[in-house]
Formats: sequence, structure tokens, C-alpha cells
Amino acid sequence: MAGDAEKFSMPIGPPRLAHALLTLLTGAADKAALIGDLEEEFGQRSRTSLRAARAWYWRQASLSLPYLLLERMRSERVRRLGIAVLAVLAGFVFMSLWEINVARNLARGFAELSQTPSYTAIRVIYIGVQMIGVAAAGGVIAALIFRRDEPFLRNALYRLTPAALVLFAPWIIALVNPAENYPQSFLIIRLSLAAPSLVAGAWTMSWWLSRRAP
Amino acid sequence: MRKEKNLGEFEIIVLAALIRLGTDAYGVSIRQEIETRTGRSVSVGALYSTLSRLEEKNYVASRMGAATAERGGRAKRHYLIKAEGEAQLEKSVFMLGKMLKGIKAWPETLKNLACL
Repeated sequence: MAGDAEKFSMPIGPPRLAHALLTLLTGAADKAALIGDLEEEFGQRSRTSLRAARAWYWRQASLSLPYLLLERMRSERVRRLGIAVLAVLAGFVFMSLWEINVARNLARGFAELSQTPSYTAIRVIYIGVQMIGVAAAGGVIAALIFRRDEPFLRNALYRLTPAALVLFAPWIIALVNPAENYPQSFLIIRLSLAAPSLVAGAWTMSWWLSRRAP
Repeated sequence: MRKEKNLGEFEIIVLAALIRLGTDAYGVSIRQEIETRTGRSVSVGALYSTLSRLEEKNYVASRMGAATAERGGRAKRHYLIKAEGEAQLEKSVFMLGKMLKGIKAWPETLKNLACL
């Protein structure tokens, strides 16, 4: 009788939230086997007590989540994504420090040099070197997180754009908060060249990787 | 030379369970075998993570079985220990035995083990 009352008061299957969490976090290779094992054992246990079976399922799910998360982190794609996020954040810190400690001093130096013929040449070399670096960053991002089975435009929109916004944030902040003796035109030129350089680097890397693929 | 891939404690337990279960080894039976024999609660996540690692180390092979209704139409994954796994298990247990030998008075059941 108690068993009947229990069955009427709660759903028959495993807890939906626990099931959804496990389905979400289990890798494709083990998904059918792991979820199937839990369902089989849940079925056996629910014949004795549905409440105990549901509690057991929740316990299994909560104890398994850390392992499943670690397992996902060990997978190649997630590891690449992690490296890319760390690299972009490191790039952001580097560019912020560069902008504060080096670029502004250089700009002031350029302003003093502005009366001499070498002024334009130094600026061009400076921007040229920086754009090579930005293109290389685009290549690294493409190699790490672009999906080979998707077209370049889709990769650029969903994967390159967020990284670019983080990388260029120091320049955008500097553009919004201009410093004394720091020519804004210089920043605008750099920003307008950086975006195509980043895309060019990413496109070149994608093209090269697609040629290497069997 | 191939790099040595040593076994952890839980890996030793899982490999021993695979030997005991033979061709009937799959997630549920392995988990229940370990829980029954050791009294230790095992989560499916921990088990599959360990099995996946053992497969990477080439100590275990797996194949998908047929889907059944009691599993919600999902297939079982059957596991089998490989010769490399057996050799490494033997080596790990032997090493452990040599380290433990003579440290203290072990219970009679352990004393009877060949390696101790």
C-alpha cells in the first residue's frame, strides 16, 4: 500500500534535473553506456522503493559530476578552448601594460620627433610590427578554437570576434579616455588596421590548416 | 622505450573486477562487484573516468553491446582486460606486496596472499 501511495505521489522515472545534468556533461563516447547503466540500476532499485531509487540517482549524479567535468576538460577541444581563453586574457594584460607603460611614452616621444623627417618612418615601422603581432594572434586563435567543419565567416563571427573584443579592449578604453599628448588619430589608425590584420591572420591559418587536412 | 604507465589504487580495483567478471563486465556489473567486495561506494562518473583512462593506457578494450528496453533503449559498453593490463596489474600488486611485506602483522587473510 505504501509503495502504491509513493508511486502516485511522484514521477516514475529518474529525477529529470539529475538526468539532464548527466546528459549534458557526459561525453558523447560514454553517454549511452553511462546513462543506460543508471537507468538499468534505477529500474532495479525502484521495484523496492521509488523514493530510495530517486535518492540513489541524485547521489550518483552529484558524485559523478566532478569526474564528468574533469573528463570533459581532458578532451582535446575543451583543452584547446581553455588554452585560447588563457592566451586571450594574457594578451589583454600584455596589451594593457603595453598601452600604459610603453605606447603612451612612445607617443610623447613621437610628438617631440614630429618636426623631424624620421617621425613618420618610426610610426609606420611601429604600426607595422604591431600588426604582424596582431595577425599572428589571429592565426593562433584560429588554430586553437576554430571548428574545421564550419565556414570561415561563422568561425570569425562566433569565435574570433569575442577574442578580438577582449584583445582590443585596452585600445578601445584608451580611445574613450584620451591621455595628454597622446594623439587619438594614432589609436584610430591602429584599431582600423588591427581588425583586418587579425582576420587576415586567422584566415591564413584556416587556409593552411585546411590544406594540411587529409 | 615505451613509458611506464603505473596504476592507481582504484585502477587496480577496476582491473581486478574486470578479471573476476570476464565477458560479463559492463558499467553496472563492475560497479556492483566493487561495492559488494570492497564495501566502497562507487559513482558511475568515477568508474567511467577510470575505464576511459585505462583504455587510453591500452590496458582495457571495450565494445558496444545491443540496446535493451530496461536501459531506455541504450546499449551496454562491455569491457575486457587486455594482456598488457593483466601484466601491469600483476606488476603493481607485486610491487605493493614487496613494499608492505613485514611492515606489521597483517590479518590472516592478507598473509595468505602469495605476494605477501
